[in-house]
Amino acid sequence: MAGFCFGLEKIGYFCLKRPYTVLLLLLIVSAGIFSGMLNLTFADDVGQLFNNGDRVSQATDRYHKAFSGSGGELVLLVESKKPFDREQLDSLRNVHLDIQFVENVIGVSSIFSARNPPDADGISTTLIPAKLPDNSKIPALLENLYQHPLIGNLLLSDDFTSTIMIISLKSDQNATLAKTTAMLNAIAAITDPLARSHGLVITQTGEKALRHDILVTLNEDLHKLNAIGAILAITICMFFFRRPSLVFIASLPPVVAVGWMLGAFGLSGRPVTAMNNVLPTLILVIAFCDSLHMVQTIRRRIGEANPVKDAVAVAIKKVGPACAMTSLTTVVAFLSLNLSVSGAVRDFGNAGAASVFFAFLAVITLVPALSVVLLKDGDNHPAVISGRFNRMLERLSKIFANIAHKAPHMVSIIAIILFMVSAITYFAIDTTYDYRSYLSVSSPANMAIDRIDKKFGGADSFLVLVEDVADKKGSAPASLIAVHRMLEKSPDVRGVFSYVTALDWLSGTTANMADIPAKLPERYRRRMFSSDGKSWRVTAYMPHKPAASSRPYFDRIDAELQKIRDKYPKARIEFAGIIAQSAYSSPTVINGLKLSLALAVITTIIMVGIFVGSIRLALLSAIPNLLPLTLVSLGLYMTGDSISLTTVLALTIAYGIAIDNTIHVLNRYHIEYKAANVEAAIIRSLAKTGPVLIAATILLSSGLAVTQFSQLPTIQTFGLTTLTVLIFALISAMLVLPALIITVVKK
Amino acid sequence: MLLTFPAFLSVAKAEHAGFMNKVTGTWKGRGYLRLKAKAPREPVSCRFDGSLENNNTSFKVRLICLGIDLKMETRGRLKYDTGKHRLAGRLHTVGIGEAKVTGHHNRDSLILTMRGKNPDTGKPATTTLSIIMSGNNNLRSTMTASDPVTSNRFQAFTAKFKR
Repeated sequence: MAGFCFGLEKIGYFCLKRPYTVLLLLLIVSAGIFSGMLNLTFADDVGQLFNNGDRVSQATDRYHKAFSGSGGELVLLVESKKPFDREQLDSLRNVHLDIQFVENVIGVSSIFSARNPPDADGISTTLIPAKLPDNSKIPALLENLYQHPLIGNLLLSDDFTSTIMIISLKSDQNATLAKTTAMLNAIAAITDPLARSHGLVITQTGEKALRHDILVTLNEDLHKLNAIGAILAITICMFFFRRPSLVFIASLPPVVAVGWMLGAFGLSGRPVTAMNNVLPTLILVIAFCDSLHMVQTIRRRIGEANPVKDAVAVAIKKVGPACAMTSLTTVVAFLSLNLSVSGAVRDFGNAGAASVFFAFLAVITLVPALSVVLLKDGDNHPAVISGRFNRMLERLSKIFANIAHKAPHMVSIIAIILFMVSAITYFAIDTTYDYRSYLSVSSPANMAIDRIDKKFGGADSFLVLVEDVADKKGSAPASLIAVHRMLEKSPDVRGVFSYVTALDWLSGTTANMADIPAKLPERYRRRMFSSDGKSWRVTAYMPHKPAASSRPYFDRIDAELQKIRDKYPKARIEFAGIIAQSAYSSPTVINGLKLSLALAVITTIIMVGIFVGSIRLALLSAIPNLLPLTLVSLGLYMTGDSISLTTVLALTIAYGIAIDNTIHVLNRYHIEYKAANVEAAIIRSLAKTGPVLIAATILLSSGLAVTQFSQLPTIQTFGLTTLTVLIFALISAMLVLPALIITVVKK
Repeated sequence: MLLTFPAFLSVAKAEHAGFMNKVTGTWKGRGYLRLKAKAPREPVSCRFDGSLENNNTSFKVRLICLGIDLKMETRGRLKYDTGKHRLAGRLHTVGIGEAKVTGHHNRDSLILTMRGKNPDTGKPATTTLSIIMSGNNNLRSTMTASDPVTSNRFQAFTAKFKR
């Protein structure tokens, strides 16, 4: 085992010989790395997950370049219990006017923006007059607004009880979370008094609010989950060891590992994202498990009257390789993500692999060094695990051993059938992606999406990027007009907005077409066409749907777009934006990850074969290793769920951790088999490894349960999936693997 | 098109010093703006900042009024003659250009005359701005301009401000 893991655990021997030097060195290095945490940033762009270089991703990149300078939009959803009255409208108009003074606000679009086409004198009056009529005439005014082509049901609900204000923002590359929060608070300071005094509910939502929520939640999660995880780890340590020195030795490496990881993020400029936010919890748990194993061995050896240095040396020799192997398989699992077409996923994989290495390094350096410094020969350490708990673990191991021994054929057949059935679901199950799984469940901005969906054109919008040039100044390219008209007629689309909307509004007036672009407010121009006049944006509103459900809609629309592409071959017409990107890319990315997981499985089975020196045993371990993954897939399939990006990432990482169970059982079996027959070897193997594996699974699961405190569904899913795989993997390693070995291996 | 210039003169003599102190600072207000004589007035929200500089010999001003897709912003620095209570200089209005400014004030009011060019016609245009203070915290401002076509005067801007 030692040679297979490149002798990495031998680092521990150096730390054993030079503990003070090592500790000083680690202190200096850690101080440097920890300083990176001061530069830690958070990223809110979930769109990058599915940027896989396909045509939609490329069009989205071109769109961002052509329409750069926009800082996104904030949407205010204003709701009343009854149709708006005069006083409410008057106050809402004041809100529209006052919000324009908030820093970084470019402009506001609302029902008050509606104007009549210019008259002969070029005057374009607002539909809502400066002096509002009395309440008896307000319904007619609202009806008039609702019929306006630029307002329609995009900004006003058909029952006149809800309206939307769209706030356009400046692009600010240096925007920090604090600055964005200050801006949102400044807007709330304007809207909240109005809401209170006029019985309105005003909710901030839209892209800016949702991305802000993601950042706030990531920030909170980072502190909350790590704090809970650390407290849990220390509490378990106290229960196990009951000595401050041992608790300190076992707890410090995981905390240091997380500090190194976050510091490295900060130093390398890598932001914390909705995806890699789970890494600190994972690293804490992995490092804690390894640390506990080592300290447990050291404590036991000291309790048996061995000198501290000898005890540490034994721990390094016996537990070190297992820790190295644990880390190695997890690193392989993370590195397998490099096969993904998504840059964000590859980045996650590399960050995860590096983080796992940090975890191992922290344990193998700090535990030996601290043990030599803090522990004394002859210290009397009480039983680490209470007798009752230890006996429970032993009883449980015996139960598994008895079942495997008494009914190996039945267990093997059930396992094989279960595997075959569940394996089919793994490949057949649908994929799903919903950007809302990256949003906080309790976020008002998130909850407002459903209300907007219900009352307005649709909470989601997709973009069509038309790259073409108009024939005359102020006119629209024929290709753009064709796309706009097609989308207007599409039953899947509830509303369309583009430069053609402005032209329709002005049709029949005396407005000079060449002057129209200059007369449009700047923020409308920015939303309609690029500054060079070569790129045109069409926004189509649709009800919110997860990516898998929206894909058929996009396919239908794409078929119509193809006809327009054929008619105007010089124009480039393509979907763009996160909604279309995820609809097209998510199946590719997720299915690709399923394949990379399969590759990780094959790689680690080969590693197992080399490790135990037996191809037969390695192949036998395939089903127990794969069964936890396919069972999760079966569970999702039977409940009508689909497999998401988060699920398949969790399966990959969990596999990397869970395979250690089979490695430990096989390794012990390999040793015991030399002195006994198959059945006896299995029983002894489970007796010796079972309690440790069960205890480790309990520890890991407890740590992962912390993820359920997150506000982000994706973090909760990751934790729950990993936890489920770990539990299935334990049962698989202690029941299915022994049963298969007994069934297949001849005496 | 109207030329709009806010200008706040401070009272130079000792008995008028209070007026200058009263108008310095940041003011917020609401009012109406009319871009053309025939156009209806439109509601606006306004902010202005005024500050004395260079030992009370110049006054820096910035006024911005925002309506529905409507913006008026004027800024500049005016020389202030403390003895004669007179103001002179140039102010710039975004989208319109510079205008020459002259004016005078008394204890609680200011009259300012701006001479520039109509951006649509290029012809000379004159605008008159009056500002009246009542109490320490109330400001009222109105502006009249000339219709470039008929030469008739019309009220182009009116607003009330508080600190």
